Amino acid sequence: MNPALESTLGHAPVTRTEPRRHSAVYDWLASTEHTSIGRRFIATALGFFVLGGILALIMRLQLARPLLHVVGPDRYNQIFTTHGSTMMFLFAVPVMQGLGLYFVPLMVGARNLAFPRLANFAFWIYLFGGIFLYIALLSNTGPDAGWFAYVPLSGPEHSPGKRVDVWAQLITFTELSALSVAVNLIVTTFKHKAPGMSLDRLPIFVWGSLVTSFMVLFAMPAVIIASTCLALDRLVGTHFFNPAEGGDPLLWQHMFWFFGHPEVYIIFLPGLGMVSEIVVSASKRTLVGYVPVVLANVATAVLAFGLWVHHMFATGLPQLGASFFTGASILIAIPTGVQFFCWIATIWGSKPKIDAQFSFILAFFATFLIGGLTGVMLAAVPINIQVHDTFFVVAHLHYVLIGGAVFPLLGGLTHWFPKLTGRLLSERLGFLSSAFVFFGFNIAFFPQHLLGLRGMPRRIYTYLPETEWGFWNLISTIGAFLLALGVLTFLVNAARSLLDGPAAPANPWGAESLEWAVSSPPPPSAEREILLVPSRYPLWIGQLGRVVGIARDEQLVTRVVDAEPDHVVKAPIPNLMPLVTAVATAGLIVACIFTPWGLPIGALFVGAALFVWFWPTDREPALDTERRIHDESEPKAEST
Amino acid sequence: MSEHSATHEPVIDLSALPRHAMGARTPLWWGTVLLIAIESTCFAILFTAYLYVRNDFQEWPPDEHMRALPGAVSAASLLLTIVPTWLYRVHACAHRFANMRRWLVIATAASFLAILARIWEIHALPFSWTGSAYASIVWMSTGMHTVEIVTGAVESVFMCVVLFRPKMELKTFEDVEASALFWFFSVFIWLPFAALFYVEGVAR
Amino acid sequence: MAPYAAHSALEPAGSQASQILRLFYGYFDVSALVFTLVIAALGIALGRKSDPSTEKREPSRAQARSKHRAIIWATIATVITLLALLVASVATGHTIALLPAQSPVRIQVIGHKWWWEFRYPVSGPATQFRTAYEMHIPVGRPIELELVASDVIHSFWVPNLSGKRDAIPMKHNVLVLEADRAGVYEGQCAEFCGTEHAHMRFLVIAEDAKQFEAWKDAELQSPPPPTDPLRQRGLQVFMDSRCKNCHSIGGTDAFGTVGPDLTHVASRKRLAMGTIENDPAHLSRWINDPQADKPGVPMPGTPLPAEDQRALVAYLGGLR
Repeated sequence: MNPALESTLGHAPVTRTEPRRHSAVYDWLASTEHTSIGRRFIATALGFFVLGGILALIMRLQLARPLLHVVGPDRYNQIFTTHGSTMMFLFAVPVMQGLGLYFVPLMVGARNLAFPRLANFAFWIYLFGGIFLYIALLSNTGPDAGWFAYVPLSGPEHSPGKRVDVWAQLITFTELSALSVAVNLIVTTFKHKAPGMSLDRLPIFVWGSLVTSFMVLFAMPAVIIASTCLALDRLVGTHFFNPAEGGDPLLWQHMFWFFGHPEVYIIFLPGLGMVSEIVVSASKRTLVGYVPVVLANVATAVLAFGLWVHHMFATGLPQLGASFFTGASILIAIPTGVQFFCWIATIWGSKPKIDAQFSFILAFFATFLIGGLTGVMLAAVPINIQVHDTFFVVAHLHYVLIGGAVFPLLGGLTHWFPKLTGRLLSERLGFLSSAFVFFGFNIAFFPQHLLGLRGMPRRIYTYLPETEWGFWNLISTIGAFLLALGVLTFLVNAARSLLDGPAAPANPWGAESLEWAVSSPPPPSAEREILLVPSRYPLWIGQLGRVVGIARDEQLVTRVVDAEPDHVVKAPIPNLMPLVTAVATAGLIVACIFTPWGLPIGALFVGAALFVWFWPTDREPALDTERRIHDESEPKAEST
Repeated sequence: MSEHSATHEPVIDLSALPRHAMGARTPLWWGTVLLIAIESTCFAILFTAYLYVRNDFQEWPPDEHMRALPGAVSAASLLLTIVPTWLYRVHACAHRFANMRRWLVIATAASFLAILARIWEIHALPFSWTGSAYASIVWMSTGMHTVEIVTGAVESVFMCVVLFRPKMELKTFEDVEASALFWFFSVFIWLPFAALFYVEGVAR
Repeated sequence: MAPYAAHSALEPAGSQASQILRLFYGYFDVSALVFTLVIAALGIALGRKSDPSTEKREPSRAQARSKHRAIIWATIATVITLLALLVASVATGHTIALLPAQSPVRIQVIGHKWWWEFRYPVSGPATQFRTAYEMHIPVGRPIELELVASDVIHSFWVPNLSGKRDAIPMKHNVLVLEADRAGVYEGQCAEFCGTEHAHMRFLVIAEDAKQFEAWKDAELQSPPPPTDPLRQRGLQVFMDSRCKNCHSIGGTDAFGTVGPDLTHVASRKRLAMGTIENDPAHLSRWINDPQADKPGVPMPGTPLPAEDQRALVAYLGGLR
C-alpha cells in the first residue's frame, strides 16, 4: 500500500470484525449470503409458478367446452392478464436470476456476490411486487388489459379505476429487482472470479447468465419508460398515447415490444445455459464448440434487440420494413441451431446416462425445436397475419417458453438439487414427473396450433358450439391437468427429499464445474476457500489449487479478462437496511397510484433509508482526516 | 509466488495484495458504469419517442414556443458544474484529501445552483404536460432529468457530510470517484435533449 | 351444432388465404423434415458407443476436427434452408400485395366495442348506407376495406379470405381481399378489446354480382311503415323507449349511431355480433337484459310489460 497513505492510518480503532450475534429471524431477513438469497428467489418464483398455473387451469376449465360459465368475462380477463404477468415477471425472470445468484458465485469461484445487500433488497422488492399484484387480483382490482396492456384499451378512458395502474407498478417493482440482480451478476462475473478463471474458462451457464444480464440492462428501461408514460397518461393527464393530442398507440407497442422481445430471450437463454451444463456433465465430455456456443449466446442476445416489430405485423406497417424484421426473426434461429449441433456433437459417442435430469433435457430438445420451427413460421409475414393473435401463437410461445425455459429449469433443479439442499431427489419420481410434464404439455398445447389455424383468436373467454373448437379445447384442458400433475409430482419429490431424502455428497454426478468442489450445501461465504483454477473443466482437467492470505470477511477482486488477483475488499455486515429500503420503496411505488405526492414524500423516506444504509461503518483501513489535511498542507510534501 | 503444498496442490499467498483500489479495478466503478448504461437507455428511449411522435405532427412544435434564455442558462449552469467535479475527481484519484473535500463542497454548491436554474427552466415552460404529446414528452424528459440531478446533488451532500467526520475509510475515495462519474453522466445526458428541445422548440 | 358459416384459415376461399396456406404448408413440410433430422441425429448420438478413454478430457485434434466439420456443414445447411424460407415469405408477401385492385368495391369498416359497422358508399341521393354484422361482397372482385376504430384497437380477421389487419383509432389501414367463391365466412375481432372481445364477430357473405346489387338496393330501401296494429304498437314502443338514442332505423325518426343500425335487422343470420340466434325468443331476452348473454355490453336492459315486449319484437321481426 502507498506509504504516504499508510502513515495517516491508525489511531482509528478498527471496529469488530466479528458480527454481533442476532436472532435467526434477523439473520434471515438481513442475510447477505448469496446462497440464502438465491434460494429464496427460487422458492418464491416456484410459488408464483404454482399460482400462475392455477390461474391457467381456471382458464382451461372455462374454455374446455363452448359457452361455459366457470368465470365471467371480467374475471376471465383479470385471470389471463395476471397469468401472463405472473409467469413473465414473477416466475420466469426471477427463477433464472435466482439460479444465477446462487450458482454464478460458486461457478466462478467467488465467495459471494459483488453487492450482497443489493441482492437482499432485490428479493424484497420482487416479493412485495408479487404480493401487491395478488392482493389486487383477490380484491377484484386485478389488471385486465393483458400482460402487454395495449393502449388505448389500457388508457384512462377505456380502463378506469386502478387495475391497469396495478399492472404498471408491478412492472416497476419487478424491473427494479431484475436490474439490481443483473448488475450484481455482471460485476460478480467480471470482478470476482477466482484466480485462473479467465473469461475463456467460464462455464456456459455463467456466460448465459452474463449475456442475459446485459439484455436485462438494455431491455428493461424500455418497459419502465413505457409503463411510466402509461401511468402518467392515466393519472395526471399526459398524452403520450392519446391520438387526439398527437400521441400514438403504436408508440406503446414499439416501446413495449422493444422490451418484450428481448424479455423472452432473457427467459430462455439461461435455460440453454443449463442444457449445456447438464449435457457436459451427463456425457462426461468437454463441450464440443465452446467458443461457437459462447458466440451463439452473444449473437442471440444482440439479434434479440432487432426483432420486436414482428409482434406488429398486423398493424399496417410498410412492407419493406416488415421484411427486414422477417429476415432478422428467421436468422436468429441460426445461433440457436449452432448450440443444438454442438450439444448433439458433445453427446455423440458418450453414451450419457439417461437419468431424471437428462430426461428433462431430452424433453427440452423435442419441445423447444418445435417452438423454434413455429417461430420461423410466425416470422413470415403472410403466415403471421393469419395466425397472429390466435391460439397458434399461444401454442408457439408455450413451446418455446416451457420447452426452452421450464424443462431446462426442471432438469437444472434436479441436477443442482443436491447442491441447493444437501439431499438427492428420487429418480423414480423424477422420471414420473418428467413423463407427466412432457406428455401433458404436448397434449395441452399441440392442438392449439390447429385451433389457431381454424380461427380461434386469443384472449376470448368463450366460443360458440358451431365453431367446432370444443373437441380440441377439451383435449387441451385434459393435457393441462396432466401437466399440472407433473409439476405437482416434481414438487412432491422435492418436498419429500427435503424432509427425508438421502444425503448428497459434494459431487454426486462427477461433474466438472466449481460448484461441485464445495460441500452440498455449500458452507457460508466466510468459510469458503478461494480456489486456484487450472482449466475450463476444473474438476476434470488440471489440479485445483488454493489461495491463502484472505481473511474470513474479505472478498477477492480479480481482473476482468484474465482473472489475475488485483486487490481485496471487505464483505458488508448484514443489516436490515435493504429490507427497510425495500419497504420504503414499495410504499413510494404504491402511493404513486393514489396521489402524485407519493413521489416526493416517498422519495424522502427512501432517501432517509439510503442515508442510513450507506453510512460508513468504519471497518476498513481509515484516514485520520485532521492529520491528513495537516500532512498535505506541509510545503515539503512526501513524494508519492 | 506460487508454491506447492505437501500434496502438490498449488498454493498462492495473497496477503500482500492491496486492500484498496480506484477506477476500473473496483467493483463499484463497474456497478456505476452499468447504472449509467441503464439510465442512458431510459433517456435514449425517451429521445426516440420524441422523434417518433414528431412524425405524426403537421406543425412542430405544436404548442407555444420554448424560451431560449432559461434553457440556455440551465444548460450552462450544468456545464459549469463539470469544472469542480472534474477537480474533485482528480484529487480523489490522487488521494489528496483536503483538495478533494474542498472541491466537492464547491461542486455541491454548484449543483444546487444548477438545480435552481432548472427550476426556473421548468417554470418557464410555456405549456402544461396536458397540452399535447409533445408537451408530455418535454415535461417527462425534463422531469426525469431533474430527478437525476437532484439525486446527484443529495448524494453530494451526503458525501460532504461523510468527509467532515474525524476519520474516513479509504473506500470513500472510491465512492467519491463514483459520484463524479455519475454526475458527469447526469450533465452530459442532458445536452442532446437541450439541443433537441430548444433548437427546434425556439426556432420557427 | 352445424356451423352457420365457415371460419378457418385451412379452407381458403380467397386468393390471399390460398397463397398464405400454400406458404404455410411449405414451411410445415420443411419444419417436419428438420424436426425429423434433428431428433434422428440426437437419437443416433445417444445410441453410439462410448470410448471411455475420451471421458473427462479434451478431445484429440482429429476427434475435435471431425465434429467441428459436421457442425459447420449443419450450420451451412441451416442457413441455406432459412434463406430459402425467407425468400418464399417475401415472394408470397409481394404476391398478396399485388392483388389487382381495379374497380374495387370500397367499404369502410368501423370497429366499436364490441360490434362491427360497415358503411358502403353509393351514388345517388344518399352518399352511403350503414349496416352491421353482415358485410356482403361480390365474388371475384377486389374489395378495398378502409379499417377504422372508434375507441380502442380492434383487428379485422376473416381467415377464409385473408390475413388480419388492425383497426387503430385515428389511423386508416387498408386491407384488400377477394373471395373466389360464394359462401358465408365468419370473421372475429382478433385484438383484445375489452370485456366482450370474445363476442365481436362478423359475417362476410360472398355472392354473385346480381345478388350483391340486389342486396345493396334492398339496404338502401327503408322498410314500409307497419300496417298491422301489433307492429305499429311495437314501433311506438321503440320510439318511446331509449332505443332510438343509440340505434337507427331507416324511414323513422331513430337516428342513433352509438349502436348498430337496425333497418334490416330481421334479415341477419344472428344477433349481437353472432352471440345469439335471430329469433323472437332470443331477441326478447336480449332486449330485456343484454347482460345475460353478453355481460359488459354497453346496451342497457329495457324491461317492458309483456304486451309491449311482444309488439316490439314483432316490429323488429318485420324489418327485413
